[in-house]
Amino acid sequence: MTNRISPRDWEALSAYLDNQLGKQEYQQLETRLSAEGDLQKALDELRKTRQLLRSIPKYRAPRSFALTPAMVGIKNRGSSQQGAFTMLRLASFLATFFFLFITVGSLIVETNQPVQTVMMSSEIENAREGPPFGMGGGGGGEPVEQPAPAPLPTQEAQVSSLDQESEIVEGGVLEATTSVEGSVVESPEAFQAFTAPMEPQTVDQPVAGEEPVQKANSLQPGAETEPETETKEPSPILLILRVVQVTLAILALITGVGAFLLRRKFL
Amino acid sequence: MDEAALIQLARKGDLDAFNRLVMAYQDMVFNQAYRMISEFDVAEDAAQEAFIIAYRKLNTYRGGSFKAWLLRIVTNLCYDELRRRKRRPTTPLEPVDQDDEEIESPRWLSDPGESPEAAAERAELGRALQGCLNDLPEDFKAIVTLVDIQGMDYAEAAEVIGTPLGTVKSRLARARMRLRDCLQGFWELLPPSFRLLEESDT
Repeated sequence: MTNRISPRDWEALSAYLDNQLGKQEYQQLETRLSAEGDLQKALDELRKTRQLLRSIPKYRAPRSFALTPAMVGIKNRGSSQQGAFTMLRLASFLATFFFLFITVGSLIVETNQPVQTVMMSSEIENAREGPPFGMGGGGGGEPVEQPAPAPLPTQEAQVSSLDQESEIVEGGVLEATTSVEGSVVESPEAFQAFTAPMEPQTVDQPVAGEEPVQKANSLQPGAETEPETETKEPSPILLILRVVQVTLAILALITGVGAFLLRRKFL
Repeated sequence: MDEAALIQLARKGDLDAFNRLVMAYQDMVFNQAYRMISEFDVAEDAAQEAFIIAYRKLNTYRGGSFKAWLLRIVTNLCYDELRRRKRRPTTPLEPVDQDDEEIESPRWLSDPGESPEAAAERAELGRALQGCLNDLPEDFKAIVTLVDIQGMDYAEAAEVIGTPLGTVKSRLARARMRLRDCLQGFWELLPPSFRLLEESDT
């Protein structure tokens, strides 16, 4: 009986099952269904067919269909990125290592530099003081025998004894010492002058002998500051180290950021 | 992360993002392929190929339903496979899954207290249903699979097969009519739930 149903009726029945009919078509079909048994039977068979189809089990995928880079032809790209990542990581590590090495090295050099300066200054101080004078003090005991520098054996000894005498007499140690530093005692008469209260002109007395003059010159204030100005100038090695240090820091930063970005792609 | 964001990432070459979409849709894609081709291994290959094509042509996706776009790809692949078979017909073996069990085994219709006879009947019904699907023309098979098995509405199905809504409606009706005719001899094999439905309808 259902064989008499037209294709248009089948289409309407199918759409009716899926609620795809318009309101008017729906009402018309409802009216026909209540009146035509064949149409109702066809609808029932169609409903069963549809129900059977919808009850078909859905299989699970037999395996994962997730894609690998090789499947979609990005193997080379992936391996090149992997290589770049490895290179950047290595470069970053090496740059960081050498940067730290040079930083520590330059710090050590810089910390040694003031020590050398201090050492040089202390040498200058020793030279200024010349042969060790009597340490003064209120004891006024026997003058200590000090080895004098070779060029001025007698003069230094005389200055030493003069110093002690000046302390005993009336001049301060500093005054006597100052006068000795600025001048050189030449003769026994001069010793008498030193035993008298210090006068300014003793400083301006003529200097005899080349070596004492040289020594005195080396102790001038201008001569004292010369070594200090030399230590303040950065050495070429330190400059090179600074350049290398900055270059390595930049390199470590760039390669590190690059490796980090690539790593985010892989992980 | 939502689907649109994953698609955007996948477009930029993020394979992991795309694989998350694969995981979400692989069952659906495989079932579409299997119901159209009716061979487990071939359906598996078609599903895999569909995802590869989808990844490569992701830039051609212009929004809309991603599910429909994927189903369109796999349905077209199934068309190609069915046409290839027509040119070089082969005698299909009994479909088996990876465990060498028949695909239309009683599992999908079985219940724990089912007798062996009932299980055999269900298996027979399942094979009959798949056989009837296989006898449908390609276009009918595609539309009935999309609407009645995948559960898509007419508009989505029209988007998948690229036809107007009216065409979907008429093809679906004719497909169902053919299936009804094909299954005429198997109604007695229907599970009790179907029989109850039939009785309640009458």
